[in-house]
Formats: sequence, structure tokens, C-alpha cells
Amino acid sequence: MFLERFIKKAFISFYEDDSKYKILIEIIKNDKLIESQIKELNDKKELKELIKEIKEDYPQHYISTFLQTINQGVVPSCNKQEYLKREIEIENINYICIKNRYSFFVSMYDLVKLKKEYNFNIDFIFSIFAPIDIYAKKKDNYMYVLILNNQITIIAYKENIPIYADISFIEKNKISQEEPEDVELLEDIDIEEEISEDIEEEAENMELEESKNDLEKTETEFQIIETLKKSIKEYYEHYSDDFLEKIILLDTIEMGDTIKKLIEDELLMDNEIVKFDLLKTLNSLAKGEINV
Amino acid sequence: MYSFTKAKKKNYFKEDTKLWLIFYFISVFLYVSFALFLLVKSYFYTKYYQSNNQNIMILNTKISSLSLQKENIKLQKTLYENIMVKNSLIKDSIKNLLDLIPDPITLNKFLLKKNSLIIYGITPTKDVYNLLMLPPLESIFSNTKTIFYQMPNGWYKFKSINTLKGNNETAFN
Repeated sequence: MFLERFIKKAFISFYEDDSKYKILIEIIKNDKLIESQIKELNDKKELKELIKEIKEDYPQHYISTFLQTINQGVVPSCNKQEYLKREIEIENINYICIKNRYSFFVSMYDLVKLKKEYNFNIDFIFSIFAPIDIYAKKKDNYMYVLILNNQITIIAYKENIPIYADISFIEKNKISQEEPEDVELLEDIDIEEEISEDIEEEAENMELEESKNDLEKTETEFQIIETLKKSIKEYYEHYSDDFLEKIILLDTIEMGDTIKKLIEDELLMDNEIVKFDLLKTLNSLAKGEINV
Repeated sequence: MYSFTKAKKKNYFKEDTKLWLIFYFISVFLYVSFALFLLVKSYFYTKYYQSNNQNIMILNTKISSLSLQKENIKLQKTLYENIMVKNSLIKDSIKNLLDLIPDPITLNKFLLKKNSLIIYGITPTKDVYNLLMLPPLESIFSNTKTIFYQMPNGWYKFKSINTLKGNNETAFN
């Protein structure tokens, strides 16, 4: 429509990661990006308020997110029989066929639950595999691993069709809860001593924070390696007899290069870490849905 | 198409923008209508003006023609008045003349001109004429000449030529 050239469109993508909400707002006018802002929100209330404001400012807004539940997957066919073979009940799922070759499915219950979870209308709900699928260029014996703070999503392609997909969650040890607190009586406190103790405590806390972060990172890397081991084993045992050429890690949490070395050493596989903008990819998918 | 859901149809404008646009379009519509009204009015006014101009031209022509007629009528009126005055004068002159004629003298005819009077008539005697008629004629005219012709019964036909000074003549029978 002629008017569309003069009207701003807001593409909003968000997802929950480690109890925080990451949101990207892109303002587009006449197919040109005129404003982009990324935010990290602490709770759902903030997210709802921000989206409410954007909705009021931009009547042409498109909100998109993806499903993070485990009850979703890929089937290397669009045929219902293939679902029946895999003992997936068609009536309990919602599936979409991609290029008439393969399909993504999600549990109907999870889809409805996600819609009800927010008081705003989500225009596009994608499978978590969709952003990976749209990004993946080489799709023959390639494994793509999307890493979020609390989730690992794996999809493996053979002859341009995803034949294997898996979702697993990263469990983190709650180190902060291990700190016992000493209770002192007020009259026992010596001010000078207290201040010097505070400074020491602060320095100790900083060190502890750093070591906690390192520990968390190592835990994540360990879990990624373990998940990959399990997935590769499963892949070779049940899905393909061909060798995987490469693992592409789609990094959204700034992992660093250690994981690359670990995969090479532990799994003996060629791999590559790619900085992945998941929110931007979601917005690209949304734009594809409305042909912008 | 990767989405499990379809986007709802979006409005192009905010609610307050919609209201604002409605008022804007109403005012534009009113402006345009008023402009059209003025255009039509001006068109008809131009037409009316042209037709009036034509009427004025026609009326001007009529006025000039009427002025001519008026002039003619004025001339005719003057002429008529002149004629009336002259007729009245002539009438008076004839009355005076007829009053001049004594009973014994009979007039056959007379020619009354601007500066002359010629009288043809019959008188029983030259003396009757010379006593009763000649004196008043001589008192009026500067020159009076009478020619007598005796008829078989002894009476006289006469022709009296009386002239005033000047030669312009206008004859009346």
C-alpha cells in the first residue's frame, strides 16, 4: 500500500534467558532501519510496560519470540505419516512445513501457554530451530549449536534437511547460597576494625565474584561438551551413518575461545564459534512473514 | 514462513491520529467545497456580468437611437410649434383681413404672402373701395396698388397688391 512507505513499523523480538528478558526494538520506515535499541529487562512487568509503550507509539508493530520448551522438534518430512511413525500425535501439535521438505512442530499446549503468558498479542511465535535454520548456509553434515545462558539447542543437517534436533537446559549450581553470614552484637563492634574488615571483605567478594563467574563459565562449557557428546553419539547411532563435517556454535552469551579448543580436544571435531544475534534473526524472520 | 501464528491486521494510525485525520479531511473537504462554490459562483457571476455588459451595450445603442428619435421629435415639436404660431398668426391675419372687408365689397380670392397681400374682389364702385377698404390697407402696408376692371353690370372687379418692405415670400391659399 502507498501509505506504508510513510509509516514507521516497529519490529520487536524478545526472549527469556536466565530469568532476564532480552528485547530488540527495530524501527523501520520505507524498508530502511532508522532506529534500533537492545535492552535487558529484569522482569516480565518491565517487558510488558515497554511493549505497551511501543504498541501505543507504533500501531504497525510486530512482536516475535520463540518457544523455549522442550516439547518441540523437527521432522525431516511434511508428511503426517512421518509424525505417526515417530509416535507424535498430530492433534496435540502445531506444525509448519518448510520448503515442502521438512517441518517444525511444537506442542499445542506450550503454544497456547506462551500466548497466555503475556498480556500483549505476540504476532509471530517461532520454533527455536527456526532462527538456526534461517542462519544455516551449509546444510550437509553440519551441526549447529545455539547457546543461550540456560539452554543448548542442537540441529544437524544432512542433504539440506534437518535430521536431528535436540534441546537441553544448562543447570547452574547456586554458589551464592553457600555463603554463611556471621551475626554480631552491636556492642561488640569496633568501628576501625569494622571498616578494615569491610575493605577486606569487599576485596574478597570481588575475587569470589570473579571466581564464581569463571566457575559458571567452566560449568557451562562442561555441560555444552557433555550435551554435544550425548547428541553426537545419538546422531551416529540413530540418525546418520555419515560423518559430521563441522560444528557451528551460535554464541549469544560471548563464550570465548576455550570451548573451541575443548571441542577439538574432547570431541576431535572441527568447529567454529559465530557471534549470533538471535533477536535480530527473529526480527528478520518476522519481516519475512510480512514480506518486508 | 516459519511462524506458528499469523499476525493480526494492524492499524495504520494511532487512535488520536485517526481522529486528527478525520477532522483534517473534513476541513479539507469544507475548504474544497467552499472553493468549488466560489468557483461556480464566480463562473455564474462572470456569465451574469457578460450578459449585463451585452445588455448595457444594447441599451446604449437603444439610448443613442432614442436620442436621435428624441432630437427628431424635438425638431418636429419645434416645427409644429412654429407651424402653430404661424397658423395662429395667419389665422389672426385672415381674421383681421376679413374684418377689413366692408359689407358692400365681395372677395373672390386673396393671396397672403409673408410681405404681401393680393386681394381679388368685386366692389360696386371705386369710391366704396377707396373709402372703405383702401385706408386700412394703406395703414398696414407700405405700398398699395389697385387695379380695377369694370364688369358689364357696372360693378368693378379689382386686384389690390399690397406689399411690405422685404421680398421673402411664403404663400398661403
